[in-house]
Amino acid sequence: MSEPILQTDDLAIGYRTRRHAPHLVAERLDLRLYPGELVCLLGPNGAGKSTLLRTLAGMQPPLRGQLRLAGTDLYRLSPQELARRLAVVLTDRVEVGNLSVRTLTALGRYPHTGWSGRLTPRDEVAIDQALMAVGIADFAARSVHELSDGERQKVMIARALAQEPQLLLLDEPTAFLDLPRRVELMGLLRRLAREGERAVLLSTHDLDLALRGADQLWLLQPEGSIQVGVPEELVLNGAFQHAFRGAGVAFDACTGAFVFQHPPMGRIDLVGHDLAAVWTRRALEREGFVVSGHEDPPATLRVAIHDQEGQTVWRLHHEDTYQDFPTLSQTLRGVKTHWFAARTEQ
Amino acid sequence: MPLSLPTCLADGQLPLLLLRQLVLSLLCLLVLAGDGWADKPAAAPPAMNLTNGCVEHYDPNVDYFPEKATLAYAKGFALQYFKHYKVLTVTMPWPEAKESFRYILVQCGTPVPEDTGGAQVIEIPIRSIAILSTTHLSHLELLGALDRLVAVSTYDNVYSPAARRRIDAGQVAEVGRGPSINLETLLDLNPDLVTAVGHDQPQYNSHPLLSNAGVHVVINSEYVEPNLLGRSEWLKLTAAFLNQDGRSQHLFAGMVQRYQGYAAQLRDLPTAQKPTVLGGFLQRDVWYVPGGDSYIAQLVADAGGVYLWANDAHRASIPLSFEAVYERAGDADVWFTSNQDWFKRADLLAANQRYAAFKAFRDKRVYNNNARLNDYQANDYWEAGIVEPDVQLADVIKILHPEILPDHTLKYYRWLP
Amino acid sequence: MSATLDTVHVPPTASQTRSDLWRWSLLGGLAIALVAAFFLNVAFGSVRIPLSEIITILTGGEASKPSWSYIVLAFRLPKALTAILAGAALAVSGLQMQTLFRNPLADPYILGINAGASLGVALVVLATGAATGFLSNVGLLGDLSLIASAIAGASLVTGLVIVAARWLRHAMTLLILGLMLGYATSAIVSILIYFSVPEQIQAYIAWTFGSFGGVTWRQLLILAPVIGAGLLLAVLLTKPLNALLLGEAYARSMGVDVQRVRFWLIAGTSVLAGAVTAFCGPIAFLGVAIPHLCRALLHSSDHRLLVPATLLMGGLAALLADLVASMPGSRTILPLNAVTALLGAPIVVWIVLRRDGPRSDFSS
Repeated sequence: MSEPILQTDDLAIGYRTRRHAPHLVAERLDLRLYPGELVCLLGPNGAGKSTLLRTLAGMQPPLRGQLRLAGTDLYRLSPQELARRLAVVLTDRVEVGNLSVRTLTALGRYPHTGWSGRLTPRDEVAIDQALMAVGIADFAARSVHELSDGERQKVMIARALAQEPQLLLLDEPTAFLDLPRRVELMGLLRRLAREGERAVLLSTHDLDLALRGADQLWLLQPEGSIQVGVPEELVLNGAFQHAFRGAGVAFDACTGAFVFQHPPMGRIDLVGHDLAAVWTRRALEREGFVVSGHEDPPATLRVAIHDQEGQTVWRLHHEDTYQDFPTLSQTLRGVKTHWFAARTEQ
Repeated sequence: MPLSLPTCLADGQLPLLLLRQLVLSLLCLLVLAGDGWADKPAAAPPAMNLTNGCVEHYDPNVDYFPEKATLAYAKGFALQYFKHYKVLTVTMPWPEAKESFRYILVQCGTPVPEDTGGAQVIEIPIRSIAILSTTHLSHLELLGALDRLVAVSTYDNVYSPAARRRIDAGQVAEVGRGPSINLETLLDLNPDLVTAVGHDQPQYNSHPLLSNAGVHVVINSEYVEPNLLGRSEWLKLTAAFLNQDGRSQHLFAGMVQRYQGYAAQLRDLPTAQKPTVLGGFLQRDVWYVPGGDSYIAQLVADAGGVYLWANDAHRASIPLSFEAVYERAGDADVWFTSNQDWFKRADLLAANQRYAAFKAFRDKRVYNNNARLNDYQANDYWEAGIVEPDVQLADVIKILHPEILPDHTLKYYRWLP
Repeated sequence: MSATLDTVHVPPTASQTRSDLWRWSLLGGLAIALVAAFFLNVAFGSVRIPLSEIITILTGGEASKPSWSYIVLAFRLPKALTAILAGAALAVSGLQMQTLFRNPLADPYILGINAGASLGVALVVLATGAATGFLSNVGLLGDLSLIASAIAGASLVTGLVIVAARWLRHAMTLLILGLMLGYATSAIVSILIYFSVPEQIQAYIAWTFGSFGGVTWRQLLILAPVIGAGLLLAVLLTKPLNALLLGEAYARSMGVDVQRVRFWLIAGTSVLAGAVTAFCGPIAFLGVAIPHLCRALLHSSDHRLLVPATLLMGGLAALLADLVASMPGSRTILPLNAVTALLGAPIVVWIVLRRDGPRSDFSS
């Protein structure tokens, strides 16, 4: 493993207020960012993700500790030197008016050009590479305000790439994008990290994508400590569950998803192993049932899925009778009918 | 003499009684009549207007204004005389006015006429007066009525030394004018009359506020007249309130005589000998040049000069561009300006270098009407100048044709070195 | 997937170069229009002078009437040059303010410069002595005292704003501070007006009308280098201005020293707008309207195009406004501010209505 691009030692972040003592957000942060890595910064609201990102981006000095970018104290670097090594992409949609995609991307060359901003051939190459890397070379001539939100964020990433940074920081870049675009962006960022030999750090609320796409996770706990590790590790050691516990919500380590927690209504047995069974289980669990396989004692209701001449059929066993349903929706209604009927009898 | 009738009469003596009664009654009547005659001698009409005091016993047949003023030059007001009241109509309270103001000046001690037609009724002669424009001050001084002055608009605008002495003695108050006039002080002083100037811009007028407060205010706007004599004749308006109609008539006649005397000397002057004249000055981009129908144009004509905008029909000043003025008057012989702050040509240059391009400037023939200023920057041109039209004419003649009046020294105009 | 990207160079598409070319030729067109307007302004004025005479005078010959020679050389020529300088100065500084504050209605006076200059002039014209007025001090400096007092007033307000700019983090705070300073000084001027006599008020109001005609050749010797310096500074600030299009946060991340750039932008604007106000009085609308006009014309927010465009268009608009104000053929003139407002207001309205649509030409 090469040298870390970003390194913090015993970093404490927060902000100074004029009258009171400085407000501490998180401390004892020993973090490392290596080239080729995609790291996601996660944490519940208010844990301090933005503060950490701002501190790492050089926008807000730390309260104490060391912060090094490629070996040099980050806050000792001049704005221009910093800009040559570090680029940011922010959440908000920026209205730039009437600029072409290429012109906006070219703005990223700011720290590399002279006082006039004139672009040398070298600069043009960097711009081209940025556009291609992000995949928007085709609409370089189009005006930015014609683009959709997703394309626009890509342009902002291209601009950041044009700075030729070693470290790319992104603050919730997917916040306003729909799911397909989010996935696409994560994939793009992974590629940029790997192929460009740069470190990419992004903060996000998209836990699922972070779990799947990140090489490392930095998990900010509500009490101000941070846990670093491979995503799966953080699930297995319970850090994830701890960070995101909340009222009525729990992180299900098995599925890697959040589930609503409520007192279960009862137990239902489910028989079946294919895709239909997986989704039937989910439906039943959403309804509030605990789904079990063959257990003692058997549950009052049992759903068995089998194939009948190529069609999936759900058979609901109730006491000694059964009922067949051709669709999952009807099955669920049947389950609920029987369940509540049984309850009222009692 | 007590009237007594015999109360006891014997019956049967009726015819004798009746005769005695008749004789007694007749006697009583005669006594009564004699009584009245003794207390009221025959009313003789006054020889002069009453400048002080009121009429004791009013006689409707008496003409209380044996001295009457007639107007020869002033077009902005008219005076009508009735036996015991005068009707003053100010037809031109401001230029191009659509309304006129009527005032009924009732001799003190006589009754107010029945049909006033909504006009202001003012008792004359007035004993106290507040002056909102120093152009009226010289009227008072000339008529010897300065002791009746109780208030002026602004102390700093007063030139007259006599008036200043009264101010220093605390006998004259300062009340401002226009919308910010100090109504309280004025009401407290309760002058018999306030003279105000009329403006066509209603926001500058003082008279509405004063009328509403019940103060007697007359509009005295001499500046509407297109010539100096007309302006000076408004002396008679002030005089009418002081019952000095005769005196003002006499004074004005003197002014006219002297004025016409001067003008006569220039009447037959050939045009070639008349110098060309420019007026006004540049204010930012606009040069306000006196109009062809203004008193300045008339003055220049009377003094044997050619005013370069004499053909213009405006009475007020015309706003012109620098180009237009320079093109027509760049070669004017004489320049009469009116910027209070200019005392030498260097002042003009400081204000605008382009003045140096004018021939009048280069030939050092620039004159300003600020020759008589006191320590408070008050200009006598607007005070005594108003009642000395002949001296003003003499000044201008001296400037345009110095050889005609060799003994005259400039009084109101200053040569700018 | 990772080809050697160094060797792959995607040339700008043909359509892109074509549109770029279009923009630059538009700039060229503006320059030509400016020169044409300059000659129009010299040829036409209050007094009718035949074209042949104009040409004779300009080429150093003798005119039939010497007054015409004077009018053209000593009056119209410096007036036209002043118009170009003032128009360029106001338009460019308006552009700077609009970008810095990301506010389409910002103009060069937004930091109270205009109000400060007005206060300086008002103090001299309205408050000196009881029965004076007009353009001179007791020391009789005349026109120069007016200029000096305007500069003093503008500098005072600007100084306050610049000091504040060092301490304040957000541009919006600065904007509000400037606005409030403007209101405060206007209030003081109102009080001065209230206690003045009509002649003084008239003189002050005459100043507020704005005028290019009051600047003589000698004054141009001062005005031209000052405005030249301000315009040069604006050109040097083109690069950071473009970065500021993305907002101060992004600009910082790209290496822009936002505090310093803000300082220089404000200083540059103060010099440009302050000088114009001092020599010509407050001139409205050019600062607001011209940048929008240029953005709409060029379909671009790129300051490398906008700075020269506003410079040229500003000079052009000022020349045209001056031409209209001098009412060729009639002997009177209109106040310059009235003309710029009449021309500028519809433009601003049009711009705002266009913004209402789906296409946006400007950042908010």
